[in-house]
Amino acid sequence: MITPRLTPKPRSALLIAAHGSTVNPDSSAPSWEHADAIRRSGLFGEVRCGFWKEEPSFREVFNSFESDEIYVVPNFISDGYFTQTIIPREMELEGAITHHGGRTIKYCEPVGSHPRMTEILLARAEQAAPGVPQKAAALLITGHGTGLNENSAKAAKQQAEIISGMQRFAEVHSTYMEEAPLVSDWATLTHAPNVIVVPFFISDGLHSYQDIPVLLGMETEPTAAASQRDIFRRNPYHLQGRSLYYAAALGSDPAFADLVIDQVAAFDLAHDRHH
Amino acid sequence: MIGTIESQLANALGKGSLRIGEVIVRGTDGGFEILHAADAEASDNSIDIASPGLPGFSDPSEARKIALFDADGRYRPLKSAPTLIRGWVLRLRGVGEVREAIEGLYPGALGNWAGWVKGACRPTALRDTLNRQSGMYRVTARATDDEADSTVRSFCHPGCAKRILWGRTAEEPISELPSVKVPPPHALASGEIPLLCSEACCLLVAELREVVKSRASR
Repeated sequence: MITPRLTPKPRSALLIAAHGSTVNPDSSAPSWEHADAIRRSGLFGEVRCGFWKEEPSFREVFNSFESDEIYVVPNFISDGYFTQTIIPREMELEGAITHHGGRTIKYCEPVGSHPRMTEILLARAEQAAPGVPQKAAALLITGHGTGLNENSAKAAKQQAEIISGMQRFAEVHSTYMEEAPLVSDWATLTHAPNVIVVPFFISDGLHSYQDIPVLLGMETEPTAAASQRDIFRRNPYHLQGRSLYYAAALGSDPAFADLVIDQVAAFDLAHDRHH
Repeated sequence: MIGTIESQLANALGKGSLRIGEVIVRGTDGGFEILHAADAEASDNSIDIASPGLPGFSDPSEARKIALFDADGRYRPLKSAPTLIRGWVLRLRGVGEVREAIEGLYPGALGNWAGWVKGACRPTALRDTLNRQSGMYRVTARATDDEADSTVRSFCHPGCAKRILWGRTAEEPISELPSVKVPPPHALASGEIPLLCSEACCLLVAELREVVKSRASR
């Protein structure tokens, strides 16, 4: 449910900018769903999505807008290569505020920077392993990791530090597909009898639904996409003497639509707009 | 609030049935319907008769699901590929819903068309696209003119129904493109809203990367 945190902006548009995928059909689904929910809320005159790997692209989507003011919110799990390099380049942005072709484009923080990320992460862990005592569980917050920009790895690490400080779980680690600590080393990295893995991703797409389960040993090869299977997951998976629970991706939680709206409100606050 | 794009669409619909990509949009008693052109032709041999026999949807957001997989269940990342499934009809109440449904089938297409009609759609030349790539795609800047043109010709047709607005550079067009791949002479040629390509997509860039790398490895 959308609980508005800003007054309606009928003359403004919202652009949700996300990665998308050329190989997985579920990657863009959360962005479209958030856009639908926000459109129904009536907070903006127009709500659209633009993608790096799907249509409409980050550049051509601007042909579809009619508003003179467009808020862009990256639906990315962290600040990083895409939010700092790709999106500004593709959208020809000049910083937080760009004036271009008679329009004002307001570039907001990504959803991954929102303080509610921790709460949603914990909810995902609880949903994957209901009733499992957290004091007998290791929580693995698992991200992509990339050499192109260290911020994306940092975000998962920061969440691990915050949750570790809460002292709810026996162990808390951030792990990655492509950098140490590797998620494929989960069994040596952890000691608790229960291991809960929360994919630090925007959707149940290629990496979170198909690739990481192979790295964990849950699957011997990538399965079909989530939307093409009958059952999402069969938790727990009994592997190497432990019970492993694999959660839905962080970003597929419908609460992320609220985070998108919040990032627009945060932009206005930061730039002293009074509506 | 009805914007310019919706007005342009309403004007086009007012002239009769419209074709866009592989679908037909036509007026009915209750509003409009959208269906695959092949199904429209199959129904009673008349493009003007509404189609009661096909499974119907009244929610425009169903269009996105219709466009997601091909008839073999394979994901369609490129929505202008000539692989849209048949056997459905969208029954919609007004031009606003038609616009939303077309957005689901052909994302961004109406905005591109409306911008192009007004002369406001700025195509990006292929060399500009390739020169700004980073990371693993940076190598595409080294594509020769021949590699660029021949890859566009073979990859973009018949694999994509979009008409290409860009050239290799601002001055040099892609050579020997077939007539179905160049912009039509009129905004609404023969009751068809053209699908338009204002910039080389990530799929073409990825294909060019393979071409350049395989030449480099020879």
